[in-house]
Amino acid sequence: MTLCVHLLGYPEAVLATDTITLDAPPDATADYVVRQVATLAPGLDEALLHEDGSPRQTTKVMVHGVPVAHRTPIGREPTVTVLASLPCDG
Amino acid sequence: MDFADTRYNRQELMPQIGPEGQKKLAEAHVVSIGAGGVKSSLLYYLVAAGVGRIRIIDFDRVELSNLNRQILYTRADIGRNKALAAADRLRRLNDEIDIEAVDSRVDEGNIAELTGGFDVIVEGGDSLAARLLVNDHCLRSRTPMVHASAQYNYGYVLTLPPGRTACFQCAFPDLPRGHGGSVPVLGVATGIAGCLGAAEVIKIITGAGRPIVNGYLTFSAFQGAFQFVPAARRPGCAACGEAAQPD
Repeated sequence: MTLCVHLLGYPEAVLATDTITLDAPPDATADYVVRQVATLAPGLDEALLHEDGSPRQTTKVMVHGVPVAHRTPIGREPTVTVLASLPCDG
Repeated sequence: MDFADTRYNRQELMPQIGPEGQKKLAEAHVVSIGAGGVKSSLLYYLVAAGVGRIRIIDFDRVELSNLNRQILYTRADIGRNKALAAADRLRRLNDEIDIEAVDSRVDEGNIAELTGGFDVIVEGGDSLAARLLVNDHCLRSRTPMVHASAQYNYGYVLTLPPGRTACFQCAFPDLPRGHGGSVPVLGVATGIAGCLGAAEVIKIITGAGRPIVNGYLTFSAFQGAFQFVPAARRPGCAACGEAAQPD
């Protein structure tokens, strides 16, 4: 399936776009989407993920404007939002 | 109240402010840690609104590359201490209030002294460690904190009434360590964040409206989008959880 991923905050800033599309299996979970987004630019992995590859709690996945747990299946949603409002760093 | 050509008339005309709210603003003491991009618009609006006493603390010097967003300063201020230059500029906007400048870096050893006696602390650290220091101090001293930040084209704001709602570390429990240095930032993003922060301070002081608590309001300037992100208080929070606050 093709998943439309809306970006807010740091991922939007680094990727210089507010929307991307991802190929995702129907049983894809929220953390799968975060990990996919994290591969798209240098530094995004560290910003969005812990060293063990799990999403940071500060990285939010939202469905219909509501944050969902990282293990929530979202593969059948037409659109999800990945949001990471990291504070200014410097 | 009718229109009159006085400094605060246009906000005193508002039912949520009125003469009583204006009196509260005049009696309020606010300290700003930092006087950079976000604080530029934030301080302008607090001074314009008539907050009675404002202390500005900053150790940094004005640089040319600050001027895209730090609208308190002009080319003539380059090389000056930001707190002193900001106070000079703001006194020209409003000479009826008390504006103090402190050329200092806030650290664990002086934060209580520099911020003691103030009703609201506006947080402006430029590192995670600095933010956590202020968060911890606000919790210990039970002083409300307003935190606003921006980088690139986005930003956010949240308010911490200590011990009652999520603290900064509840909202951001596992931030990356950060890299320091110069981050990209659009001036309007810092301006929006600062305006939102000023509104939070005014709400705390006057009691008007509802502060942004138990989460944060984030925005994207390029998308014209605002999103409230809920963040509940965490019982296990290292800063405000039960283990950290035995009382």
